[in-house]
Amino acid sequence: MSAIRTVLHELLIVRVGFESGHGAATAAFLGCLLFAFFGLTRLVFAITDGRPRQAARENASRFRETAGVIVPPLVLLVFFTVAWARDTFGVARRLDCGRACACFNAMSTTQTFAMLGNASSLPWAEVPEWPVAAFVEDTATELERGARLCAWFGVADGDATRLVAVLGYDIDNTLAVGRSEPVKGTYPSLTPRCAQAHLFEREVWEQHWLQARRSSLAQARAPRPRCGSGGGRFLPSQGV
Amino acid sequence: MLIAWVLLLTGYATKMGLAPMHTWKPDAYGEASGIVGGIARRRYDHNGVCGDPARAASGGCGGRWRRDRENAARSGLFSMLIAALFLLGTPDFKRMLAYSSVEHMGILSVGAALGGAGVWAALFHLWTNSLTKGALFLSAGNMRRAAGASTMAEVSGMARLTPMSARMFVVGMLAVTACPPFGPFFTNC
Repeated sequence: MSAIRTVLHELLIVRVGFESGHGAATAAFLGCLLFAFFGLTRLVFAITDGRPRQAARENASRFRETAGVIVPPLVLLVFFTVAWARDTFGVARRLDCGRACACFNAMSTTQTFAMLGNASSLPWAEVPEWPVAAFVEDTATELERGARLCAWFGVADGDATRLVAVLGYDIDNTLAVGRSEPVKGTYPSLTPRCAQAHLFEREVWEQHWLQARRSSLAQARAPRPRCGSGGGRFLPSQGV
Repeated sequence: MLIAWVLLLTGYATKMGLAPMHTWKPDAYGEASGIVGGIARRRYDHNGVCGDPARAASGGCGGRWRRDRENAARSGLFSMLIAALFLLGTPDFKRMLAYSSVEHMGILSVGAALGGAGVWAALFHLWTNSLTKGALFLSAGNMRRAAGASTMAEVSGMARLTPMSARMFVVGMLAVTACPPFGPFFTNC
């Protein structure tokens, strides 16, 4: 991941403005920022590039830049730099979340989830693909790092099924998507590490007969006796 | 409810310094000493802004006041425009910092009005801006004391007379104008 990606990832107000359909307001916002930048740049050039006046020279000879007047603004700038560095590191970690990020985590071998914004699309061929065990592991890692499981479903591929995960990063207003290689029969369950996956796994079982291993599928629907049938087991679950 | 909303808007906008209720800010910050300006800026802006996202969010959640967010965005953009125009024409550099503060309150208002990640950006911007603007006011106070004046013409070349203060001022100015890689860049954009 390049440094510029970190920067682009945090273009928050402009990005949110364009994504929410406020293009004109966002353009006006950028225009005002530009004017303000020009205005303040005049001052920077005057201070750094101009020649001091005689009156200023005489007055400045009575003024000393002691620690008492230098340290307070310096402390604020240092605090600011630390705050910025911490935030940037946090952003980098969120971007790193299980994805290719060699510059921040050279030992990471995890696959890259594809990132996309809300209401955008991605060709199926461009959705990254994992072996199913690694896919479940990386998805669980992302969820433990703060992502939200938006969807977990199966897509038929011949007589096998591909699992697809859609993750949400709410604070970044971003979605991530990935899929597994075709799998048959069973796959490692996500539910033990992420309880919210339970009903998704149940849905996968119901639609594709693809069962999550090592999960104990809690009963989601209470069987009701009908017409004397006596109910019965809606879905048999296999324990650990 | 309408009267309450108008009063809330007026109160918060005055305290934040959103245009057209911003007129007290250049006078107060321009005349106050660096320390007082820095402290006052942080206090008033924080108090006002902490209410503003809440106001925008409550407007969005309530449904009854859906136009509240639009109004917050409009007032924010108007503040930015007014501040940008005054920044181009004001000779007093401490008043320029005050107008820069008005501009940043506009940015916060726009961010809060956009909602979602915009609110997060606004709050992060508030935090980074409070630190940089405080450093700017303090270093500007040093230069004003050294030059004995506060117009741009009279403080020109102060980098030679007060090098440390000028360096900190320039770094703070780059940060506050949202130049990368400083924090306000991340939130502005």
